[in-house]
Amino acid sequence: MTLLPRPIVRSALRVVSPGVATLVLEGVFREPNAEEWFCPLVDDVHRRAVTEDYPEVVLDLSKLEYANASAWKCFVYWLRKLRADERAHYNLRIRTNQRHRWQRIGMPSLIVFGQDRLVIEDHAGGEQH
Amino acid sequence: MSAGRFKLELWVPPVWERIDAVRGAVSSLIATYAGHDLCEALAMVSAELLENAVKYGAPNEPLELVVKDDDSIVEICVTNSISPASLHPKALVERIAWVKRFDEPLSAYTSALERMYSLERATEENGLGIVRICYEGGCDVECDVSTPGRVRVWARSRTRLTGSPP
Repeated sequence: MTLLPRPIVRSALRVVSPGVATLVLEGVFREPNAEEWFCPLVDDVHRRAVTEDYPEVVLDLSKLEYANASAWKCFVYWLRKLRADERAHYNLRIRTNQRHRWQRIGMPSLIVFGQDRLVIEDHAGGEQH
Repeated sequence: MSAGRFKLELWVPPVWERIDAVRGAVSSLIATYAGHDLCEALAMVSAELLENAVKYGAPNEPLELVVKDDDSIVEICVTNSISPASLHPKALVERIAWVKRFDEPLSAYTSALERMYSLERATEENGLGIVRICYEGGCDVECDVSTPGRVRVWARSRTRLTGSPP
């Protein structure tokens, strides 16, 4: 069973779940208050990961061309939730596309918050942490 | 008089959905003179400036966007009307001053993310857009709020155009 029963399409963003513990964001994440719908989605995915004791959840951003500051709130929110929940045993693996400057420059800063629970990798396979 | 190779002036409707089209236009413009990395950086800068203008500006008043180069330094400037009663100009001035307190943009960026991490609710405002402009966008930011009812914010890239198209 995938994380989403069906793809979510919002403006220029498409969210799909092609695998058991994988969430893929494609397009442009530009909504003004993305946290209003994305954080509840994070809550659902987190709850599933805890209940079913996933070892890892993949957030694939490799086809996400752009994300605004509102989207960053959501990524940080997920890390906060992961670190705060003692029942959560999964690691979050963020799959990036190093060609996109905002990912290459910005994503490594998240390691401070995710620490050993966060893996950031290039979609070509190289791990940054 | 310094040499500039381009100047783009746009009146943008204050509609959130239009911002991404402008981001694409800025990227295309910069691509004439610079590589992919700088295109993405400055396109992001234009989008963040416009998002702030739409979010805090007067509704129904068009935004002015100017993208130009001055001696190979790209400047992106957004001017918008704002309610005289708005608290945004003061917050903007304080945010830019806060960013400048850091020796490196990365330190400001990390600090802004730390604050975001500490917030109970992800919906609280955090001013990350200005910090992204400085760090991810590689720009210095200034603003002018001296005219009542008007806010002008501009970002100047710390990376020079290389001179010829890539």
